[in-house]
Amino acid sequence: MRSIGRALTWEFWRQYQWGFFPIFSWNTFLLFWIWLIPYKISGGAENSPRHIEMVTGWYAFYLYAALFSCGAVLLSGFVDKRKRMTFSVRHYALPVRTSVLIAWQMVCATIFMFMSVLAMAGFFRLVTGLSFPVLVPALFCSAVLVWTTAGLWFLVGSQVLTLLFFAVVPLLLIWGFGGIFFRETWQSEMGTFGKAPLPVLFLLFLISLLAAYLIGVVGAARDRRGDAFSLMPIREWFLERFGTLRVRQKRFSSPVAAQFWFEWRQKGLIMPIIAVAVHAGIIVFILVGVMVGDAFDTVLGFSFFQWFVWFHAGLLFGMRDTYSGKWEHGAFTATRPLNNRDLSFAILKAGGASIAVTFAVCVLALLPWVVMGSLEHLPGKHAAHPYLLAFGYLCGALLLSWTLMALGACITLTGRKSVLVIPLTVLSAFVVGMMTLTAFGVLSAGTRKTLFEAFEIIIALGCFLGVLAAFRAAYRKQLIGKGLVLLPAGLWLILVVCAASLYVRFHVPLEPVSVSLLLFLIGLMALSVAPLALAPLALSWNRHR
Amino acid sequence: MRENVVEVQGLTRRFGAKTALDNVSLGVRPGIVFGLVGENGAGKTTFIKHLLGLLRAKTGSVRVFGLDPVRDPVGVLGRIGYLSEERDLPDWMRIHELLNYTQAFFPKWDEAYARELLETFALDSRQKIKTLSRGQRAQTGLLVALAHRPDLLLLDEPSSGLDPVVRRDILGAIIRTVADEGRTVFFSSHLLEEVERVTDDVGMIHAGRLVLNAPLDQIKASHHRLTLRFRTSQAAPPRLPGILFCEGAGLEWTVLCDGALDVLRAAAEKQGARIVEEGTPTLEEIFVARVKQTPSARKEA
Repeated sequence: MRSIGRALTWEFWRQYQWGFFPIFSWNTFLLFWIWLIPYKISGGAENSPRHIEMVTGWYAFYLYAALFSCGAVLLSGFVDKRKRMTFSVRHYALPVRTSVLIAWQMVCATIFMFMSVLAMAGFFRLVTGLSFPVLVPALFCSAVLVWTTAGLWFLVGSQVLTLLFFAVVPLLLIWGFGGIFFRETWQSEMGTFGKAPLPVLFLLFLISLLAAYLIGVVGAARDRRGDAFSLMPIREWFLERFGTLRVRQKRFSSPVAAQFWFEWRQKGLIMPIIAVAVHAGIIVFILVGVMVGDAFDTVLGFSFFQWFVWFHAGLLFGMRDTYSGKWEHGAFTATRPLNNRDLSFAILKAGGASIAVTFAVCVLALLPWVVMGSLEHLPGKHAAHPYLLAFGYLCGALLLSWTLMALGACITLTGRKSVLVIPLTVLSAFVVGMMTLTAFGVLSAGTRKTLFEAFEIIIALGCFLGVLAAFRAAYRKQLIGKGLVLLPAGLWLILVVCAASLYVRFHVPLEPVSVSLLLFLIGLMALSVAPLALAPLALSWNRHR
Repeated sequence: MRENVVEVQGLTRRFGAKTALDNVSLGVRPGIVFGLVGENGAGKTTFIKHLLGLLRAKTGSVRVFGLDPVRDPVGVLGRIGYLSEERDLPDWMRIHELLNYTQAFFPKWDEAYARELLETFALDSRQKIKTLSRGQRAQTGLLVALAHRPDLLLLDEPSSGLDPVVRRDILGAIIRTVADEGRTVFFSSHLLEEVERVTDDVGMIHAGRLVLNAPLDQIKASHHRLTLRFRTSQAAPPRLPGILFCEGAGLEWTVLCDGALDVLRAAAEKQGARIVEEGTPTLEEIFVARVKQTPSARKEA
């Protein structure tokens, strides 16, 4: 390779060649179903206004998804993965000017992103025959990517600012760009989607590219000479005055207490902080008058539906540490003189405590509405029992959060990524398969119902027998004692009784009794206690390879 | 006779097609410094991981203090001080937090000794581990491994990446001290000079096989470097019993042999050679000779 440009382009391509095609095919595949499914399911006419409206909305959504997935791949490749979100020392050691290095990476990334969106949207256009916009989204995605990388290079050295940047700037960009090029169009009709004046659009894109380039060069040049932006002086000042407040001086009462502290300090506060931030954001939105009518619904929704993120939080809890993101337990944690039960339970306990604190934050946030009597206005069929229903939901949400968090933690505790990837792939294939069969009308309503009922029973049996086998294995390997076999069995019985009572109280009056659904619930309840056996088993598998 | 601290029998471990350990049997007596030497990738870390229970013995058995480290991690790890090759420490902690945290796991933690080591290594306890230099990181790792006065100190490449001053201080003083107190040290290294300086027993591992395991004195006594001079030019290297390495041409050849000196002298004389120089090889020379055996020597062996 005789030129720097060719060498850098080659390196870029070698890094991302395996990322481009999967992203392209996955997004195209999804987009195709987005186009197909709505009208097949709704039974409406192809390319009817309703169909187009649905598809356009989803298209925009998937552009964002594609943007972030591509962005994530690009960024993870750019950076020195082990340490910082910037170029590696190897790059800096090359006899190349920083401006050239940045220019090349930016140009390559822009072209990569532009081409991937272009290919995706173009393919979609070809297949569906709809006049989907291609250029505007491609420019938009490229601009966001470039600004994100420039921002990262500028802020390298400060993890706090980088995280803040990741949280705020993409949202602002989407809001800003979306306001100019998307909002007016995607909500109206397809034909006007790409009618923003093209020269203006290109000019804006070029200006933003130039600005991002300058910011990136300044940041990377500073980083290259070891003068990265840092909040350290402020941090040191703060620690000098208040450092003793957060530093633990007291001795730990036991090894388990020490391990719990270890897990909690790393991961425990992440979710409570997010909950506080979300509620603070809601308050700000209420104060500035953006969100008034739907504020209560948002708070309630966040409280009841946060279980969705607890699986991901659980994956984080099971990891060796949050910084390295490694699944395999390294020498430090694996050589603690703690048995597998205590070590894994310390992790679960930290996760459980995190759930408790997060829910406490949510309940506190809900209190004003309870005081104001907003729960009385709960919509739906159960308005007559708002508090009982809210309590039931809350308990359900708590249980679901615990179950998902603990199962997520068990998955990462195994230290093997295939444990997550294989079941998720099988599940996705099943769901997509069912959707496809439904969309093409292969399955009649009756067959579909029978299939789902059979699925419910299989899942229930699978859960129950699987959990039983897990407890048996953990007991035989002496990872847990008799007490830890009997206690979960008792807990499971209590949960089953509670679930059955709630089912009878709220579901039976509305719909006929479904044996499969009841069995499904009973089977799922077993998953709530499963981590007590699965976590030591998983850790043992990971720790003693 | 006291039971061996480490007792490994017929340990074999494969990772896919690669055999990391091949039928390794090894015993470590209490109160000694044992040095496991080998090239990079020879299987040293894999062996140590078995001692810690981080790898399960799939073939053979591993006993540390008479216990299975996989079945009884608390019983084994509670008596071991371990310094890993990667100096795996939690970056987000400060040194005093690490000490406070580690202390909880070891009832025999000696706080005064920990403070003394902190001063010896000139470490600032308020410093975050993330900000430590490589040497300081190793010193911190060593501190937490030593401060509970472990019965067995396991060091995986302890001096790799350290400057000579820190290396000498750490290895010379600490290893000797721990061994003198009747405790046992097991360490792996490919820096043979330091192994030779501090070890009592040596194990040499090559491509997963333990090629030599004996007290250092015995090894040094049984290995000889001889320079042979022949009356007539020799086309092929001399054939001596226990020959490990041979270099030279024509009239003069230098050989490294494992065997009794009398026997070697007699064999040389029989082949018409005169020994012009006799010497004791260094551990490094012995290691290189065993690892890089010349084809003729390998054939002879």
